[in-house]
Amino acid sequence: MQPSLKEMRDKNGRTPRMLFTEEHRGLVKEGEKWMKNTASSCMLLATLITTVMFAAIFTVPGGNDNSKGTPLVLASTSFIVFAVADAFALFSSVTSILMFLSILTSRYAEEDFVESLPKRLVVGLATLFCSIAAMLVAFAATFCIVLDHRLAWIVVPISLGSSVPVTLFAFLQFPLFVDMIHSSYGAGIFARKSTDMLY
Amino acid sequence: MNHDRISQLGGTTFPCNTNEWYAEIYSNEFIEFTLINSFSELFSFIVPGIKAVYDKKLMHTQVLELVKLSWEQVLLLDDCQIAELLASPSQPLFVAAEFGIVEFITALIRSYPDLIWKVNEQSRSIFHIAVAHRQEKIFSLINDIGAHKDMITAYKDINNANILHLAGMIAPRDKLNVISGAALQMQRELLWFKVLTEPTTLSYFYFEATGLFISYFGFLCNIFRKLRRMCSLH
Repeated sequence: MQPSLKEMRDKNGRTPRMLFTEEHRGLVKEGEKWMKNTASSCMLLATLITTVMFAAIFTVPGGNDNSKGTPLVLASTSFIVFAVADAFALFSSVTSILMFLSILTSRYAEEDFVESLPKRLVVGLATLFCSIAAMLVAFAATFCIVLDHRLAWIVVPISLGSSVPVTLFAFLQFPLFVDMIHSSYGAGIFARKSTDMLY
Repeated sequence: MNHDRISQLGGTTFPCNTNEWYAEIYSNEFIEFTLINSFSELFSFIVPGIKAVYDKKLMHTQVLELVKLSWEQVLLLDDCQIAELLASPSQPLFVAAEFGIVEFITALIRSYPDLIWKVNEQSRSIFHIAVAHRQEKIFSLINDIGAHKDMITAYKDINNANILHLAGMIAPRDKLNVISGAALQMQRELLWFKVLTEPTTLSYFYFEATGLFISYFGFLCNIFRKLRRMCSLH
């Protein structure tokens, strides 16, 4: 478009930008409210996970060796899985907290809605999902350690059962996530296919 | 549909009954059509919803074919009659732009390119309407018309609003509510405004630069002339 169009005024003496700001004031407010609501509820969840995961590594299954302080089950493979999953869950939930915090403290200028806010929400949701998944992996690993000696047959179905909430979370949050990804990283609505060319 | 006579326009008659229409539409696709038909019967046993989809798709192609055939007849008229036909009972071009029926618009414009210059009673072109109703497919056609783009987008409507003002107004509710969440709606609105405000063609800059060069050259000439006069005075 010609740059001169930007300075033209309509019947009421408004430039396009002024008109845009005036017309979209309500939508900006609504968008801010929506973002804050989404971010604060997700942040609550992320905070809970962080707290639990931080505590879990100090209260390891099987207890500690009293003289050295190292866990008694240090040698088992399940313990390694538990430790790694716990650390991963902690890191990603902390990342997610930071992302949601940055959404909450954002200045909500018009321009923020184009990229920065949706991208932060995408990263926040993705890390939240990772932390939930890792938390359940940690749970399954702990379960293995505790019940390894006796109820070996129950370990597999329980571990599989722990994947249900992960799948649920994925399915419930997926539409929003896809919308976000599509509108922030997609080709955009103005992308053309060669079939609908005019000439 | 009226069986004996559909319409008569400026001496040219359309085919009179529906059978003729079918014959014309499927004259060379008849074999293909029956083949698809038998396939669709087979599919409808396997996938239950396919019949509805197939019927809808078939209707789309038939309608498009119908549009093309009737438009061919319309093109036989002279220009002012075409203009009248597009303006008087309803305005098919602008209604299509409003609802984003890109196939209809491309079919019409391909055979009659002058239509891009047509404006409605609010003096908005199809691109203005596409922006006001946020129909990105229609609006994207603007990239195909080359340098005319700058001229069409410079149109102002009766409220003295140009195409950017139309983008600045809030989108119609039905277009906005398709998108989930107010933040994403705002994002879409901003993208529309950004796409329109960013300079996409070089033609205008070229134009500006030439103008600038000419005025600069004139300025130098003036100085030179003044110097010469001063020299001749002394």
